[in-house]
Amino acid sequence: MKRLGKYINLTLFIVSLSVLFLLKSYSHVSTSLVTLLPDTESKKLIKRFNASQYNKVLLVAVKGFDNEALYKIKALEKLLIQLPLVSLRKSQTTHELYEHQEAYKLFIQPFNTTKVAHLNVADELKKLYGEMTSSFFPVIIDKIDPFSLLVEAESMDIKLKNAHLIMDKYGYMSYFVLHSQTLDEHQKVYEDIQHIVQGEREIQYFSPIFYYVENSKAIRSDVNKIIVIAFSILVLLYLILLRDFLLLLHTFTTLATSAILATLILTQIYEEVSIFVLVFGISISTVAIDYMFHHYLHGYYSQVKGFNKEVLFGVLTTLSVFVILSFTSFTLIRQISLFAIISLLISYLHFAFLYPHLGFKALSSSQSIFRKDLRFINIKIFFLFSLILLIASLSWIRFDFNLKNLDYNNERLKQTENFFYEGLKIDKKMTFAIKAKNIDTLIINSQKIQHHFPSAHIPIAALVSSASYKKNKDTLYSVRHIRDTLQVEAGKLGFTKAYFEKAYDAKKPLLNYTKDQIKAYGIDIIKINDFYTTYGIVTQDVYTQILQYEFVESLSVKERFESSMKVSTVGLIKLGILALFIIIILLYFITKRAIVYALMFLIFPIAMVSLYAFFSAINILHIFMLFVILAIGIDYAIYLSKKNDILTQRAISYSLISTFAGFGVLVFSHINALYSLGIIATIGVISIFILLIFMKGTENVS
Amino acid sequence: MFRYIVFIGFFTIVIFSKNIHFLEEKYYSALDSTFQKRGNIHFSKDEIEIVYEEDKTRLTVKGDILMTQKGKNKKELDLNKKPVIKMFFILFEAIYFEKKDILQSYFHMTNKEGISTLIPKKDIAQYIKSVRYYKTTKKLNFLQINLKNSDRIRIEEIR
Repeated sequence: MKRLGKYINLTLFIVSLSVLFLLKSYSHVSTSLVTLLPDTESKKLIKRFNASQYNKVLLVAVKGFDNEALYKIKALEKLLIQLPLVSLRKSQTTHELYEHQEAYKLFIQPFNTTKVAHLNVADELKKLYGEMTSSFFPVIIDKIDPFSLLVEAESMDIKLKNAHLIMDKYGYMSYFVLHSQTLDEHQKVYEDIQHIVQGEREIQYFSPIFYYVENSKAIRSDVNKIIVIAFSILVLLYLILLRDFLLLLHTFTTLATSAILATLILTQIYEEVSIFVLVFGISISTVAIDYMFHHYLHGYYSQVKGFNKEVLFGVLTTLSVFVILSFTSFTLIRQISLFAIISLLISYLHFAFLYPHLGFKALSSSQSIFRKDLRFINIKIFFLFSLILLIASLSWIRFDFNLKNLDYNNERLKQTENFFYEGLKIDKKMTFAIKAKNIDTLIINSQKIQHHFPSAHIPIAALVSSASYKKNKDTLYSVRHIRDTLQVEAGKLGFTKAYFEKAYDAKKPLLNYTKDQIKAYGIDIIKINDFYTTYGIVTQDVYTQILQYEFVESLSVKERFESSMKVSTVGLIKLGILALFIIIILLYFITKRAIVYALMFLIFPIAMVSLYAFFSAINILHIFMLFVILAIGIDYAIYLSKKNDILTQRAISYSLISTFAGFGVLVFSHINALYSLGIIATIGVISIFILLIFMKGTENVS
Repeated sequence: MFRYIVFIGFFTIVIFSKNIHFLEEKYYSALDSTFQKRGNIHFSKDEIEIVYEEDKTRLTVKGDILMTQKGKNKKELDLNKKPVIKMFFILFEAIYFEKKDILQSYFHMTNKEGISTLIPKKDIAQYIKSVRYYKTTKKLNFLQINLKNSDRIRIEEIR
């Protein structure tokens, strides 16, 4: 049976790993942040947007305006466009669109009413005639709007020298579009670009996708260092304190199997699972290690002892928390909760029913790891201290849900980004989506924004809508005299008879565009469910104002994530309160009179975290880690209130050390997100150690 | 040392400076008429200056700014907002100084019996139909720009 047991653990691992590869479950794992968003129209919209050319640009600048610099930028262009995921950014106005806009010119842009009111046709025409006869360069007359009565759309300020784009006071530059979609493709294109421009001092280059690549690289290198520290601590724990290498191997196998099976099941339920769910899920699943320690140190693996109720209670309480949290509408937390339920359950089944058959030897030493018994502080003192801290913390606690503050601070890249934005004298641009039930309303909505914010770039606003058509047609009828006078005065000056026949002519039928027609003009339009959607670009300073329109949607993953978090917050708080209520009830039934003692394992860590909140704003990862610490705390509370002996303390101590190795070491990270997890884990571990060492026990002390 | 600097400075000004006496002929389909003017173009390192003989209008292009001066009246125009006019000056300078790279980035070029023909390939095709010119090393015999609206402008270097 022992031999079979050993093989069962390994076999389970191999089978689950094989199924993982067979079903290609890993292909459902996404590195894109979009996966974390709820499955709504917005998610589809952002995915489509990510695939469009608006999103990923590459700017390259070569210092100097001399021939050498020009030659260099052209050579760079040639090399870069040879890369499979890079192309030169082309003009967005197609010939067909230009022709169409010219034909319907009088029905798109609004009329400048002041100019119309003060127009003297004869004088303006003479001025035009004068320019034609005296100007060195050719004067191009607009036959449809010769007096420029229509409001001119703002065009992008493009500077050229020797037929090439330039950046003021720096040199020549080029604008590319990147077509990479996944992190792997970003990585590939980043490396290819680096390879081409490497070592060139006078070349500046930037793309927003570099943030993904460089930040994930920095995070990976930081995590690698931390893994070394964590692994060293775990090896020390298992080899020096427990002196059982086989136990270490089996525990790792079990944790790996449970994580694989959780991934397998989750990827069958969801089409896409974020890498973050796996990272956090695997972290939570290591909590199961304390089930093993409790069984092991109480001799359940070396003697035939039957079934351990305390551990089962601990598992059920922890699982009930995650079951309740899984009802949240917030995708990230729902998926993490499901992952935790599956992996914790599988680990528990291993540790409770399989490990007793593996034949581990009992730990010989029965001494407490604490030399002296220092448990002299009364529960009431801890309770009072915690209560004062919790009440006082209400005055200083503040929350920071800005995801950017969790990001890696890539100073070098930020400097390059600013170099381009300042050099091009442009503000940072934001992209947004406009939606409507039909194409005409979509154009009307776009024109509303365009007229209110002339600097906005919304390609579809340059088409004819029923509103712009009707308004301009009315204006043209009311100024019929301009057209009549123009014909007469033009004749007097010698203009050919038919030259101005199309000028200010209201005779054009209203158009009904189809989706395909608009696409043929090179304008992005998509239909998701019942809505047509298009994109627009605007400077950051007016972006928030534009988001106020009910038909505008943000395309920023960060913003959608935060707003989805805000929407879910109330629900999450309700579920949290429900979970806490159920924990207290369960704890009461399990621990009976020791309920206050048990509750201290929840209250004291929270109080210590609230003390930390005095020095730092609390972010989403702090809260997440606090949940993990509380989940561990509940288990310890149940074990200790049932049997507060040396073995239980030792099991908890070892479990705390492995928790510190798993999470606490993140406190050494330079990445704010990881540090946030690490600091709370460390505070939690220290708090429970303090309770373990100094808090007077219950009557169950043996 | 100072003498050398003065000499190099003077030499630089000379090789970058160039004066052309020209005859301009413009046909406007709107008027179905042709207008003729004479004037001088002066190219220097950073600017192009055009002065008409008849009315003494002085046009100066420096970077992206076109300055028009007639008597005491001065007007400034940002050429980035008038791409057609800007293209006209780019074209004129590129042809005169034989900057083929620039011409090729905007036009498809062909040459038959010394006469070059340029067909626009980018956005400027909305305004310019074609360009024809004949230039020897010493002289710009003619440059004719045919616009999309049937207007045309012809410039000939005269001595």
